[in-house]
Amino acid sequence: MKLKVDEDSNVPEIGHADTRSEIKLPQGLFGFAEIRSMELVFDQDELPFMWLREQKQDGLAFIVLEPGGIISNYSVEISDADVKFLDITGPEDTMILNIVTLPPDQSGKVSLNLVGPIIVNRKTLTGKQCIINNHEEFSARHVLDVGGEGL
Amino acid sequence: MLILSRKLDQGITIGDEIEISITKIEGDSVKIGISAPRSISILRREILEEMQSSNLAAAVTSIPKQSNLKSTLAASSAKQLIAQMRAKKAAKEGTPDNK
Repeated sequence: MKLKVDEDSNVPEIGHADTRSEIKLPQGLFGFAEIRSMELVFDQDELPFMWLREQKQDGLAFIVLEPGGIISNYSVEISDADVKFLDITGPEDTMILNIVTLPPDQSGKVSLNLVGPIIVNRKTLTGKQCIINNHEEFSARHVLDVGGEGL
Repeated sequence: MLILSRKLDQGITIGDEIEISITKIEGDSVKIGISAPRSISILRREILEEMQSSNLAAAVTSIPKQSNLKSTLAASSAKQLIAQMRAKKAAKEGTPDNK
């Protein structure tokens, strides 16, 4: 399934439109196979950045964002197996989350993993980190060039 | 691990549905053909390794109790992006974003 990523696909509210939703991750994440669920938390003042974190003290956390309106010319092709696993039908019930890597120093640039987004079914709140079929077109360390993304 | 020796144009079958053939050998590089159902994911191992190391690099530990990215997102490009998203949203709604 090919999903074009446009501005309108940037809708952080999922589930019951709450700022905090539990996302089931039955297959864990790459390098973190033992994870089974994390919560997606956001604050209006920090969008597009959101937290995806374990629901325990000192748990693992990632900063993620929806690429809509941020990464121009981004599209994801999700494999048939992943479409089936996630039971998604189209852009309306699919959320794309790209994991953000912060620079070690504050002057550096933020990068995004465009190759392995976490795809979430907005209705069932089940997610999976998928390597997109069109991964060769994109970088796993896409530098967020805020000035140059055509915002 | 099962290790098999194969020559050019020879192959291996795995189960009923997966077939692997050696299609070209050139210097230290081997071209491998794989037939498998579409539901089976076939990836170069480096991509998986890259995803693992990318996730490890991105993992944030000792996060604040409340969702507060502010200190974490002090990097200037992150701050800029937040400001731009807010401005864009405000422009779209035609009102200042005062949430």
